[in-house]
Amino acid sequence: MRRPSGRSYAVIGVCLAVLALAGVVVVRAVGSNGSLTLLANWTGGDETLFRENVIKPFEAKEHIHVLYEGSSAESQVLAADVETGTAPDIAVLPGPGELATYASQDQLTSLDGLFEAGDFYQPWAEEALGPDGKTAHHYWLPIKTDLKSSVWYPKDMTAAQRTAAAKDPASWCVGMVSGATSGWPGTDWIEDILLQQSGDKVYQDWATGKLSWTDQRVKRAWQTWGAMVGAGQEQYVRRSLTTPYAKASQNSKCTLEHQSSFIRTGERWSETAGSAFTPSSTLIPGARTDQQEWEVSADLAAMLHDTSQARAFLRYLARKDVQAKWGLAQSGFSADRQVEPSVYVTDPVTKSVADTLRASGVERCYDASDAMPAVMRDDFQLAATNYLADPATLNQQLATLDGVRTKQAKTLHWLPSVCGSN
Amino acid sequence: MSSTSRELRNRLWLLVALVLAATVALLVSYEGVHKGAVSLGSSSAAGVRDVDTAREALVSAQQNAVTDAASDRAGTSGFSTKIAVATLSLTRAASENVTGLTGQQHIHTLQGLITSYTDSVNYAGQVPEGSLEHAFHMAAADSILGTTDAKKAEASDSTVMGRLKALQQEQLKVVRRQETFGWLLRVAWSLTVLLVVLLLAALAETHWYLRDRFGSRWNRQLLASGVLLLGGSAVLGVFTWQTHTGLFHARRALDRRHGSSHTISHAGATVARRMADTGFRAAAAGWIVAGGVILMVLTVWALVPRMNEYRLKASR
Repeated sequence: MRRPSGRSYAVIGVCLAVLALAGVVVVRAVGSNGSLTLLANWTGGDETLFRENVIKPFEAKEHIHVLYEGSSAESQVLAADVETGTAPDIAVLPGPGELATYASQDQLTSLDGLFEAGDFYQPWAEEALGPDGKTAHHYWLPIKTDLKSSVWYPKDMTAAQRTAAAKDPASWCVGMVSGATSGWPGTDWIEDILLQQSGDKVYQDWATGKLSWTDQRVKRAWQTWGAMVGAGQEQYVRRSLTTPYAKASQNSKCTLEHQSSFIRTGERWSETAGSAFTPSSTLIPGARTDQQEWEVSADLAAMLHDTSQARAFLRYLARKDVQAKWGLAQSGFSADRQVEPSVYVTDPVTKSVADTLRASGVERCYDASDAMPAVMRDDFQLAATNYLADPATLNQQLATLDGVRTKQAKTLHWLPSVCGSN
Repeated sequence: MSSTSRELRNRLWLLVALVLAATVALLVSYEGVHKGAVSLGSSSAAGVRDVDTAREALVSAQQNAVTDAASDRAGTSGFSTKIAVATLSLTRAASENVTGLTGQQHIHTLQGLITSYTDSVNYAGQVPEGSLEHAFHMAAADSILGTTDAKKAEASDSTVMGRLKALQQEQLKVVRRQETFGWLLRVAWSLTVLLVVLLLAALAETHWYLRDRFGSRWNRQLLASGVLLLGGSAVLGVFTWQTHTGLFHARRALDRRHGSSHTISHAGATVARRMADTGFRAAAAGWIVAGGVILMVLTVWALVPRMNEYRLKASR
């Protein structure tokens, strides 16, 4: 039998090398780099948007499978998961209040060094105290923001018409129902009225647990809201208390809605429907003129399990192109100053909101209830609906809320600050 | 080496190879059908029924909440019992683990939503029926629960009923996958039948060859091999048909099961009846390996003595 020639060995060698290379390419192409679990509150259409715009491109690039779970009862789900030791790798929450509590309980991993916190406007990238109660770290990454403190109206309404309409409770589109978080539209009102009437110092003291709920300025904010929306008056309030917030503006008789900028995703206040917004201070009785304080909100991503997959996903979420893409997909905005303002020139309203969010010399304050500990927030929501139904109970509601603040002081973890500007 | 000796040796190798290939093919094909059947019978069907039970309990709970509210008794023991049934059923569904980690996450979310729903109904129970507060809490409860009409519930919405529907759709997808005789199984079974027929033909041909060459009328070992192969394959074929038919009817029962606790338990009974002997039939996979070994022993026993006999003749 003849022995194979040197050329044969060379051919076999080349074939093996090509085979090995093809193997590597195939494994890289179809292989998996593990998975991560993600909990957020986006469901339905928002969940689809998040999957299409954020998760799928990440999975395609990194070969990391993202097991997403969206829940309107996110707070309860996360609390149960943490208690049972089955917390998701990453949770996205609509505010820093609960996250501050989890940070103090050593449930969150510090994100220091994972993203450039200096790239973000304040107060979105504020630090929070860790489990030792002394050292502050970055525990969350802002991935989408919205502007509050605004009132939406049909574009053809004049300033005089708006002022006149604001005095009639029937003009306000109010819907308090929102699944497991029902009541939040009411807390948004009260917080904003306090901010516009008393300024950011008082607001911050109250939102960080330093100011009593029974303080006259806080009480005045509640009463102002009650007067504006007709608290206790069956003809106005029954509808408000039984209408989902997303359908509040479907009442053709109402012309004004106090709502966050995300409301532009709805039909009534979309750009194509011909809507505009005005600073809420222009319509809130007793508000300081020349509004320089704005309530803002944020979706914040935090890491509960420090895995390489979770870190990769957070680094991806911090990228300015991903920030811009996700913000726009939800008609929201990025808090990252690296995101070019030009991405928001899609329409005049969007540009105006973006300019306000980024303006210098403006004080931006987190939605107070989102910044409060979860227990305080939930009781606030309940008290707001109780007050709307029966304003005579105001003193009782405020005393109950202050009782929670003082009697549970040891277990409530408040943020050191909720406002910021730059 | 003489041509007869070579032929005997070639036949032996061919038969051994065919026995081996047919055994492996039969094992894979048989397992392919029965593995799904065991999963469906032991966990998937129970998981689907648990979700049904949870839904039915929540519908009853909502009816209780509404009727209790009319008499200022919202959140009473009837309501609490139904909520407990729903929660327990979901816990059982989680332990069945039909749809993996994603399903577990769905169930966690559902449990959180049910807690919020219960809170809202309980709050409503603390204020007079007809009051604005009561109207708010019941509206909030409705918005968490969603429509109690199973046909109107949208799997894409974020309510309890929508999520239960989505979870069950995922479970039923798994059930269909377990029940389906897919293309891979069809290919496997086609290959198995081909190999069994080839083996039978090879056994028959070898038998005739030995009769011609050595003059013995019957080779008992080869005859026993043929009978074992034919009988065993027929029994396994019947078992597979029975299991597949059972799977089909069980899946149909699960697809039809909506509504009251009566129809849910009826579906459960149907599935249990249809899948009753699945475990016994699935265990027959062990017989395939034993049968293959016996076939191989019989084949070797039939040919090796002849080969030895021929070698002795040749050496003399």
